Amino acid sequence: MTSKKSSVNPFRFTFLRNCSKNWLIPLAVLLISAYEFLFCGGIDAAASYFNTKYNPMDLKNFLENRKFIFASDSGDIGIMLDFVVVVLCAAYAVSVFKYLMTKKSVNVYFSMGITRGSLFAAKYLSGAFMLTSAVVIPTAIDLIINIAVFGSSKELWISAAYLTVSFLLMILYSYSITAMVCCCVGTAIEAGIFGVILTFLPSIAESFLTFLFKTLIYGSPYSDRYYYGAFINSDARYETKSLFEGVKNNLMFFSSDKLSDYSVLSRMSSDEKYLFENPSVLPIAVVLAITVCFGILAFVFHKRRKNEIAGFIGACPILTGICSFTVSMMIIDFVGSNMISVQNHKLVSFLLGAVIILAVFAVAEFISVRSFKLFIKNLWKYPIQLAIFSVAVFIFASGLFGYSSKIPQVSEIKSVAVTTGTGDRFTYGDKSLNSVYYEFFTIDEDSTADIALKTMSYETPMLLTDENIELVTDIHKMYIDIEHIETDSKAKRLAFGKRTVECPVRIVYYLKDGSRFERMYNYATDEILAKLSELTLTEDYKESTVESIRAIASREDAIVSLASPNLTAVNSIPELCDPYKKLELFEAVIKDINEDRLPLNFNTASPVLGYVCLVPVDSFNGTYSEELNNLNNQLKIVAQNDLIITVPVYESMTETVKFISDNGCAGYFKNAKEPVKVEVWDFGEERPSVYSADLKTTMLNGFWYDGKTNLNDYSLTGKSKPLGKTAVEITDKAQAKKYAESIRIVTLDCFSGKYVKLTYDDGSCTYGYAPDSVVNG
Amino acid sequence: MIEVCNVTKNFGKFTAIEGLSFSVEKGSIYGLVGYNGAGKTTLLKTICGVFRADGGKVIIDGEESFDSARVKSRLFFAPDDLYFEPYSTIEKMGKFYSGYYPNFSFDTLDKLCKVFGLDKTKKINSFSKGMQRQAELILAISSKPDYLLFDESFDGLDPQKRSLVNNMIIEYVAETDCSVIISSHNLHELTDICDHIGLINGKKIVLDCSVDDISASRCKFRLVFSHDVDESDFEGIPYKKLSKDGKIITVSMAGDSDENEELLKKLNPILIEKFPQTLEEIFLDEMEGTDYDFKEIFG
Repeated sequence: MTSKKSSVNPFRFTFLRNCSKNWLIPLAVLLISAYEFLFCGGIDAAASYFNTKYNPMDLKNFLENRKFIFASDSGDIGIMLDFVVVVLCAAYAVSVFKYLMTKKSVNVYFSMGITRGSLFAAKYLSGAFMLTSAVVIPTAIDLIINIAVFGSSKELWISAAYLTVSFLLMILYSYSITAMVCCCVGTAIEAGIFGVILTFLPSIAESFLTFLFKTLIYGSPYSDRYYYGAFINSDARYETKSLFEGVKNNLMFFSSDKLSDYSVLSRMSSDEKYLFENPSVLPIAVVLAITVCFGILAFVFHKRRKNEIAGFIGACPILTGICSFTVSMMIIDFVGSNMISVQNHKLVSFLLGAVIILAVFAVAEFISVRSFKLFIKNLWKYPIQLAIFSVAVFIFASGLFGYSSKIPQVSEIKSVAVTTGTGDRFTYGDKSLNSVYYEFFTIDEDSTADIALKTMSYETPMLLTDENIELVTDIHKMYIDIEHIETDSKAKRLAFGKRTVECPVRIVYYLKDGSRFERMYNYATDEILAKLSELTLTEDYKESTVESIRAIASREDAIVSLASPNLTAVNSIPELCDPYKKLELFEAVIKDINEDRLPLNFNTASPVLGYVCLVPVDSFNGTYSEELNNLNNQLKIVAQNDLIITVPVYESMTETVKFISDNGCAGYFKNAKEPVKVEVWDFGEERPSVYSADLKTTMLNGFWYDGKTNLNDYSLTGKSKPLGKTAVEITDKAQAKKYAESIRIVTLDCFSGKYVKLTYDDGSCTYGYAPDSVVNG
Repeated sequence: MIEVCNVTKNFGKFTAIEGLSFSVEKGSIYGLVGYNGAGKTTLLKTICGVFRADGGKVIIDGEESFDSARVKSRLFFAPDDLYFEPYSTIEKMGKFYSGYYPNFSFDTLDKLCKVFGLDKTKKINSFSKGMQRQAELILAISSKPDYLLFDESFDGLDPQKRSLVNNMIIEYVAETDCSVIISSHNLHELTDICDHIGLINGKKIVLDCSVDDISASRCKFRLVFSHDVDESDFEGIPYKKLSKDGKIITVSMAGDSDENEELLKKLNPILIEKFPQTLEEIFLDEMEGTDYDFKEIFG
């Protein structure tokens, strides 16, 4: 008998056969990576290049402004595609190792002339090779196009390598985990589901831990952060600081921001964030190490695999348990995060978690054993699981071994920073542009608003001076005392018989040993607010403020306006809009700020002479030009950013006052009208509920009302505001005058002082806040 | 040579085979018979390395077979559960096996397909169960292994194809000196082809000998007495099985038949007759006391 004998190399044969048989999913990955890199990168660059090819100036600009476009940000679609890729890679691993999932295929593959190790290695490496090809092919083309268009540069090569390896590791991570799972379980469905769950385990666990910190630990910095301001509904805008930022978006593992930062390098920009810096190799090394570990584990499990589990569900109880717990974490986090504002949220969170964990484990157990009798027999496990969960919750709820109540020793503290989330924007309303909001970044009294958030940037707290350290630790102690006295969240708002303010206060200690100690609270009592107001601002704060002022003042299109203390006169001043004059004015303001002549004491008795406002033209809407011609042109400005500045001018600000006088503008600070009626009521009355976003808006703002409009939303449109319940008309002329002269358009968010309504003879009115100390002083 | 040495295999708490030992010589066709769930398949899967033995080992040509590429490239396991790649043909499966079996012969494949009348380019999933069995047997022989393990591989074959398969295996063994193990719960499938028989009786091999020896070493005696006798009268006589019908006693005995006859004559029967035992009778004797489904074997 003649025979055709083949030269057999089982490893090579298995490798090549898998490549030729399993190409559909790698093709899908290739298409997605081609979209993310090639079409949002090289092809995009080439298209831009050719579009400008026949216009030499455009081409010149294009090439000057870009050093390369390797992968521009594909936004939400990109994130979704990343998710799809990760799931596809898990599915691909199942496809590669599906021979482990049925008795029939196991019989054949494990009885043939190839060792278990070689079989796994050939299959695994062929899969990895296909996926690598699917990523490297488009990125290589991307690189070539970039070199062709922009030329070769070190930054391009580094970015290309970084982005390619990042993306590749993301998919190999998912592939390797699922490969490992395949070697442990008996069915394809389990392999797929468990693989995906374990792939996302880091981010699920991170989110769950953050949830526990957020829900159970008082003072946790990993809490929802609310930003309060004139146009921000308190519930509408918040974010949660992540416990481990690195795994928060573990779809990419490496921050997607970084990816986009490195993907399109601007040649011209001097903005620091666009300056190229070599990306960190550490996260890549960590994920690579983890991926390799999973690959090795898969190899070991494949060699030791008990093939009798093929086709059986629930063959790996450990993985079933881990995945059940992971799913429980995800559900608890999802459901719990939406219930965090309910009363007794700690108890609710515990009960919710217990029910979810028991339910998920019960379902997984029942699917695994598929026998009611066995299911009942295994019921003994549930009290144990419940006990473990209870212990975990107890540890967190009891303050995580003193985490909640810990305050660093003053001697350990190198520096300290405090931020709050109270509003730094203030509103005027006007009938003629009732849908228009006037926002200002206001430099004002020493309020929490000022201490806090010039730019509402939570991540860059302002460092305070050394003398503030003890004050901050005192404030911190006050917070801890509140928790000790009242643990119920609702009652906490009424602690000490006083209401609390919805005011996220973050305290950051930078310790001498180089570590950082951070706590965050979402409420502040009046006492705490008063303490906060004792904090003094630093050069950092001044520098930051000055920088903002200079940034706007240097714009040619920025308009200068002056307003009287009661807002009845608000005028744009063309002569001060001259670039040199404008700079001169604001250099005077800056000088006053730098010389500490801008009173930072909220209760200063120094009267406000008026307001200097600087507004860039592009912040105006289309109606601005028309309004500019109005003789009594008021600030009808649309802005949603920090580029509008209103500076209250006090007598102590000698440089500013002198400049205004020298330029003959002092008259613009004169009120156009004097009130015919003065009504006041307790300011605290304005805020019966700290949760009222609408009231929050009005609390922080004085405004002028033209007396004609009748729209409902007075807080935003300027409709006449209803009087408070404790409102009284001040009939004593001297007292009325004092109130009229004392009003401020911004307030500290507190319960003292009076809300003041000044009514004029034409029906228009001004609303403002008058501090007790000023009125009574 | 295949040597199964004290092999134990557990599935959780259940022991499928325990301390099992036997050997298969080169050029021998070993029939492994036992009832359903007796452990035949487990044993074969342990021999070919699909299962890892929990105790003992399987040695083939002096090398432990588990995870040995060298040994397993010369061993073909034809399982009861047929496996073919999705939408594959005999030809494609031939290419698949040729990647792992260095001696795989496409000539043999072509010829055997013609003998069995199978189209090697046709999708296997369109074949009947019997045809799929034939396809698997063709692929097994085409792989030219030195060791062949067939697990219930004759199920679904018609008598003519079974005869063809028997001849094919016998011819192959004669030509290549291949060692073959065939498992079945149906003795008829094995008696025509096997030269050795192993009887697995739930965990253990209870009988392991050549087909020739087994018939020679066992016989049955019918004795007629003039008086009533019972089992107590046979005390000291090593019988395997004794049945009584009035004054007629039937006993089956192992060992030398002449010596056994002399022993029985001492009981003074008025008549003694000696008969050779069939394989079925021997197995029935061995299975005495078990819950064996006889109809399953002899039906």
